[in-house]
Order: sequence, then C-alpha cells, then structure tokens
Amino acid sequence: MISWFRRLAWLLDRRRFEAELGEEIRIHEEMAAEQARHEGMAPDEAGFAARRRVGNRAQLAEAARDVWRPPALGDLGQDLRYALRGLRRQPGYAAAAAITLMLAIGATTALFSVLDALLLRPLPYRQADRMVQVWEHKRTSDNRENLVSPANFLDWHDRARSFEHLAAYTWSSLPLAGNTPAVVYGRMVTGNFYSVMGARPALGRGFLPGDTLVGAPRALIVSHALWSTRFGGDSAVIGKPIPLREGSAQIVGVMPEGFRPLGSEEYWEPWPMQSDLRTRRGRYAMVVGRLRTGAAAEDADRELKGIAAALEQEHPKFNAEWGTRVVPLGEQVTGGARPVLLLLAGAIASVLLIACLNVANLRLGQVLARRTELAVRTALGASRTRIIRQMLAEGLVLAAIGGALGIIAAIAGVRALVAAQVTLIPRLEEVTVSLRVLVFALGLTALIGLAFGLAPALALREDALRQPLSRRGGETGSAPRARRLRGALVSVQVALSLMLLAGASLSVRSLGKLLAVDPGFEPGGVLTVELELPEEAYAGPGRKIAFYETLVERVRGIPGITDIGLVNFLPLRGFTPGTGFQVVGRPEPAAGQAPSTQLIVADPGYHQAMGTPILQGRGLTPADQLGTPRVILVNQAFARRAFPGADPIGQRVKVAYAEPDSILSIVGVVADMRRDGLDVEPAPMVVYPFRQYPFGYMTLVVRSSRDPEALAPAIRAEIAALDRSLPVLGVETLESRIHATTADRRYPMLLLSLLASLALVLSAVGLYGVLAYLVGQRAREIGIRKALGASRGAIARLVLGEGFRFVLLGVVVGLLAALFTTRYLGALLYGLAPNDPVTLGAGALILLAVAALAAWIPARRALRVDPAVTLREDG
Amino acid sequence: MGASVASLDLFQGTLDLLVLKALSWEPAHGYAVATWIRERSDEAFLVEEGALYPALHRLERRGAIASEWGLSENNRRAKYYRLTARGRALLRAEASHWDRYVGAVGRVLRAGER
Repeated sequence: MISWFRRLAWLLDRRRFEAELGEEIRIHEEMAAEQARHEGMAPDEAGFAARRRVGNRAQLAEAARDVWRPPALGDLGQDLRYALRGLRRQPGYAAAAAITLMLAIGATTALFSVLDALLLRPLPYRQADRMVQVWEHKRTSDNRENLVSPANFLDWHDRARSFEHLAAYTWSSLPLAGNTPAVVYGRMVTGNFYSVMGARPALGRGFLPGDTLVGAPRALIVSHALWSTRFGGDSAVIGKPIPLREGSAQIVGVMPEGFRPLGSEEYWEPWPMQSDLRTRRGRYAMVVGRLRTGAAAEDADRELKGIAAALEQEHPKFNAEWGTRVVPLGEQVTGGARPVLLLLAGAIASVLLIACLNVANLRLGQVLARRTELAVRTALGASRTRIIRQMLAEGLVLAAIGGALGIIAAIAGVRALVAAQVTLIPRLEEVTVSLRVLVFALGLTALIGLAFGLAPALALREDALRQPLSRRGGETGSAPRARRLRGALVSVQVALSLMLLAGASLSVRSLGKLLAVDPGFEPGGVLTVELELPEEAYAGPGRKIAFYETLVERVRGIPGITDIGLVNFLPLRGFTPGTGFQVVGRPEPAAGQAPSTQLIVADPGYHQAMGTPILQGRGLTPADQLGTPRVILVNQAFARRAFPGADPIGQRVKVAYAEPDSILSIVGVVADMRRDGLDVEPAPMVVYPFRQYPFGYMTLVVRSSRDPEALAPAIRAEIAALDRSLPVLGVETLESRIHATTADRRYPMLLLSLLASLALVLSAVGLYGVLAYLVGQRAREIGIRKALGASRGAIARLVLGEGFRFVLLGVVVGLLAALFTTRYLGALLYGLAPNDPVTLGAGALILLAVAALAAWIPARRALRVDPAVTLREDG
Repeated sequence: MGASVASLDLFQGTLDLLVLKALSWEPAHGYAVATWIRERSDEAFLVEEGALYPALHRLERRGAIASEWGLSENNRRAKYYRLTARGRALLRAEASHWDRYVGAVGRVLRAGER
C-alpha cells in the first residue's frame, strides 16, 4: 500500500526524479573513472571503460522508471479487451444489459436536461436572482396573483425603498397593415422597464421622454424575432414609419436576439404615466422589479405589505381587503411546474434503479455461472485483485456502452421534446443537453459501471473462487448468499414497480374523472373564431353592433351551421374578468366586502351555440338593446350565492362595471359553465347583452352538424368580405380547447404510465431471470424429487415458492411505500384520495399477474425436468 | 571474471537482499554499494549500474531504504541511501528465507552423494 503512495508521489514530481537520476549516474561514472585511474588505467581509457560499464544510460533510466510507474495502466488495456471479448461471446446478455442501461441512462439524462434548464440554470437576465414580480391579491379570494392597479403601482413606486427599479406593463396590440395584415401583441411598459430587465436595445435606441408627447409617432422597440421575420432584419427600417391600419408607428430600436420577453410579446411601446392613471379604476397591469442590492425578496414583500395597508386606509373603496405579494422571478416562471417535475424525477429515478438492479441481477447470474472459470484462473495464479480488476473492467465496458447509447438517445429525445413544444414545461426553449448535463450523464455512467463491476466481485469470496474445482459436476447448494441477494434485488424491483404503478393508475383514473366532468356546454362540433375590431375604424357602439350582427347573419347562411353566437371571453381560456356587485335593496357592503362575480358579454345566440341551457326565465333577445331597460342573465352559482333558496328572476343588482350605478334586472338563469378549469368550481357570473355593451373584441361561436374545422375557410371568406384588412386572431374548436386544458395533467399521466409499464416489464424480466436460474440450479434436486414421486404441484411450489416469497415481500413493501408517496401526486389527483384502495389493490393484482406470467416459463421447465437426464448428468 | 549480475529476472530478489545488507552498516551512495558487493563477493558479483539503480529504486519504493543528498568523502555531492526500520525487518526476513532456500537446494543437490 505504501508503495502506491510513493508511486503517486513519484508521478507528481517526475522532473526532479529524472534530474536526480541523471546526476546520480554521472557521479557514479566519475567515481568509476577515478577508481580506474587509481588502479593505473590511462585516463581516457578509464573513462571509456567506465562508460561502457554504465552501459546504455537510456535503458537504465527506463528500468528505473519502470520501478516507479504504476502498473495499472498497462494492464487496463488487456482487461478492457478481455471484457469486450466476453461480451461478444454472449450477445444476448450484452444486448439486454446494454439496452436496459441505454433506456435508463437516456431517460434520466433527458429529465436532468429539463431540470437543469428549469431549476438549476439562472434565468437569462442580468442578475436574475434580484428580479421579482409583484402581484396584488384580495384577501377574501383564492387568486393570489391578481393584476395590479396602475394607481397603486405609482404609489408603490413613490414610496418603496427596497427596489432599485420598479416597472409596470400591460397588454397592447398593433394592427399592422401592408401586404399581410396582421395583429401583433406587445406590451406597454413604463420607462424604467429595461433597467429592471437589465437589457438594452441591440440596434437603435431606448425610449425617450419625447416619444410619449402628443403628436409624436407611436414609438416601438421590437423583438429580434419580429424584426427578422416581419421586417427582414433590415436595419434601415429603424426610424422609418411603419404603416398601421390607422396611421403609422416608428421602430426606434430592436432588442438583442437573446432577450427573452416575459410572455410572448413581440414589441414594446412606452406607457406614459399620465396623471389620470392615478385615478383608481381598474387592475390591469403587471409589475416587475429589481431589488436594491442588499434587499431580499422578503424585505420587499414586507415593505410593500406595509405600503398596501396604508393605501387601504387612504382609498378604502378601492383598496379595502387588497394586499400585495412579491415573488422572485425564478419561482414565478418555473414554480408551477416544479412539483410535477420533481414527481417525474422521482419516477424516472425509480425506473433507473429498477433497470440497474436488473442489469446487476443479470451480471450476478453471469458471474455465478462463471465460477468454474474464475476458480481455474485463481488456481493458475491470478490474484484476487486481478480478478476484481477484470470484473471492474467488464462493468465499466457495459456501463460505457449503455451510457454512450443513452446519451445519444437523450440528445435525440430532448430535441424531439423541444420540437413538440410541450407547453407544460416553461423555459422549454432553453432545454438542451448542456455541459453540466453531459457531466452528470458521464458521472452516472461511471458510477453504474463501478457498481456493476465491484458488486459481483464483492459477492465472491476468495474461498468461493477455489471451491467449485474441488467438487465434481458443479454444486448442489448454490451459494445461498447470492441467491438471497438476487431475490432481494427482485423484491426491491417489485416494490418500486408497484409504487410507480400506483402513481400511474391514480393519475390515469384522475384524468378520466376530470374528463368526465360536465363542462356546462357541448364541446362537440363547435368552432370558435376570435376577432378584434380596431377602435379607430369602429368607433362607437353602432359600428361594432352593425359589423358583428351582419357577420352573424352571413355566417348563419353557410350550409351545415346549426347555431351561432358571440361572446367576448370564452370559457377555459384562463381569463375572465371579474368585479364586485351589490343586490339592490340590501345594505351596502363595507368597502372590500362586496361579493365578486365574473362577467361576460354575449349575444342572444351564444348559449344555444354553446349548448348551455337557460334554466329559468328567458335568454337574451335582440330586443335587449341600447335604450331598453338594462338586463342581465346570471348563472346558477350567482343565484345560489346572492339569492339562496329564492327566485332570482326580477331581482335587481348593481355591478361595478361600465356604469356602476346603473341598475340591472335579472331576467334569466343560465346553467353553470366551467370557466376557469374543469376542476374548478364555477364562480358566480353575469351575462351582459351584446347590444347594450358592444365589445370590439368578440369571438364567434359556431355549431355545425359537420366537421367544424371544414367551415373555417368559409367563415374567413365572410369576414374578409365585410372587412378585407381585418385579421382573424384565432380559430379553434372547443374540443381542442378542452384537450389543451387538460394538457398539464395529460403529459405527466402519459409519462407516468410509460414509466410504470417500463418498470413492470423490467421487473418481469428480472424475476424471470432469477426464477430461471433457480430452476437451473435445482434441476438435480427436482429430478430426485420427481423420481421419488413428487406431484407436479409440489415441484412447482418448491421452485416458485422461493421466488414468489420475494415477490410478495416486494408487493407488501411497495404498498406501504405507495401509501406514503402517492400524496406527492398533488395536483395530478382529481376526485380520488391518494390512498384510494381500489386503485392500489388493482395495482397489486396487476403486479402479481405480471409476476405469474414471468414465472410461467421457468415453471414449465421445472415440471418438464426429466429425472433420468439430470441424475445421469451427475456422473 | 565473476558472474555479471545484469539479468534482473533471476537475481532481482537476491540483489535486493545484498543491497540491504550493504546498507546495514551505514548509509552509502550507489557506487559504494556496488563496490562493497564486489569486494565482499571476491569479485564474484560485478553489479552493473543498470541493475543496481533499479534495485535501489525498488527498495526505496517499498520503503525499505530512504535517500538524501549529502557530501561524499572527497566533498562531492552524492545521493546517500540508508536502511529504514522497515528495511531492517525486511533484511532479517529475507535473510532467513534465503538460508532456508539455500539449505533446501543444498540437500537436494547432495542427495545423490550418499
């Protein structure tokens, strides 16, 4: 051992060694020459003789170096070659092991790429950990991320000390004219927005105060993507006017290619903080800030809460019960996905473990089968170290093959994942197999290689290596330790598989229950078309009503259409405006205590087109128009909330919207719709008649007896006929909308199911391997028992009993583990308890069935053992 | 002429033993060790440098001897080797092993003389 230490020291200081050796030899030479002279030789002859005796100096130096050089390097090549030869001789085992490892390492690496981009890599902003998002939230509501009032924002901006910069932004859209009219979406941002983001335009300039003056052209900073696609990457476009539907705008700057916007916006324009914004009127902004150096997010949170409390006092009507929430930006972007990703990480780690245990089992079986060979080699003089090194080499080679294939598979898989644009995963475009991921994959591979190499070696004790030779014809009592080890490995696999199976089954059933929820409308056969009328061309209610009603009539004429309607906000779009309301005749609620309701604007045909029944009273009619009494519909949730047990028809309410003081009469009750999600209980909602509150942004809802998608071209034609330059914002069927809504559950469910299936297959293979081995080992014993007249049942029980003991152990442990871990399914569960006994029980039964299947072939072999053959083999 | 101890395979162990013995009196440099062995063996063993220095390095690697630079008898710089405690133990073990070995070989060779 000490010699190894010195070898290492030698390696580190070779230069000194070489120098000293050279000097030592020279001195030796000199002394020899002097001695020769002393003994009477002529000087040069003496020198010559001395040098001859020293001989080939290079050879001497090499011999000296060989003493020190660690020997492992030379032999490792031989070990590797031998390992490769061994694998080639057993292609079945090698292929099985390599493929198993490839799948396991590939899946783990791919997942790690996602986790790396999401959780480990910082956001691509300058000092991203100092950036935060600020929300308002109403204490009486569940929604903790409410939009912000610009007036409140301005007060925060003036009073808060924790921020270096605080900026606000809201949505805006740009109707571009030209050959291909299109609407692009962007943000209006306050002046210090770019200071918060820590970025500057790559071309052109930032915003100047002069950009927001009256009469100045609309100034824009566009994203690199928009500049490349729409404006051909031409730098001359900066400063030139860009034609819009009405008027023109001017690009003043282009952001760099790497600049990542907060949403999917394509341009930014300045948002002048005019004084009228200080009137507290609505909440429609988002706020992002950069913390001052030394301030933490919690400090800012506390400070803003204090400021919000003051604002509550100063403006009770608007701010009562409203607070603030500061969220670090990293958490904001990835927070939602984190639990699911960690769950999937756990699942993939389980599959990885199962796969590794399989390969370990395979190897263990291999090694046990080679005991004779190893015994011979030991007898011939191979040291135990040498044999262990050989096994290590075999393990490393196997792991290297599996790892290389796995990394390739992971790279391909990640590319496919990014191309599929799975929206569940935020920052998806940043997911690549980065250097850190590669290092992780290589480390994992090396670890696996070491484990596979050393484990079987450790299981073989020195005496076990020599034993087989001293007995003829193999052994009857196969190393019980090895057998128990293999059985234990199977138990672990079974337990892990059951855990995964439980998780997958629960998520599958949850998704099923979710999809079975009645959304409150009939999604089949409905197409929706989103439109927005530009304000300049359609100013005033008259023009809007005229356009949309004409469109409705023309589209109704298209063959195949059964119903048609209009609404401003479709359900399951993730966004419905809400506000407070008050029932006339009841005491006015305290500030901030007013009950909330959602509100939409729809035309008389909407509910019919959606397939949502009117339950009480009447629906909207064309008679409900400007000038006639203000009426609304309410949904069941509203009726339950505001008029429990009473008839809401004829009741009058005031809603804090448009004209907050106008009194609205309830004329009908419509069935609840799931607006915010299939798993979210419907909230109170009021429906305003389109003719009384015409919106420029409406969605056409068209029900057809034929395939709704086929109607799209005809509808577009009708729109173009009315207004050629009006772009269509979105065309989608309701079915695909529902499909998209469940995507965040569907992908994890699919992945879990895939992993569980993989785990089952791997465990079955592992179990088969162990049972086959057991049957082989005990063939002689079976033969004896059969010769003595044992029944088939007894034989089967003998062989399989041991194997199944391990399976049962695994099932029990797996059930217990599942009880603890299924609670982490969290949001994936719906309508089921994490410990749902039916699901868990079914999972256990499936597992036992798979185990029985795996045991089928070994059992048959055991029953077919011919005593005459096996007894004869023994000699 | 004596046997030239150049072949490493046969006499590696033997040479190591002789070197240990040579150093058992006092520290010496390589040339002195070779000279000592030559003289004590009555010119039977002429240790070539190609064998001596690897042997010295081997023993140093095993921790049986330690080296340091010093001044030789004529004030010349030379690398001196000395026996360590481990080296002394090794010398004792190897020497007794050698005795048994030589005795056994001798008995076999004298077997025909009876």
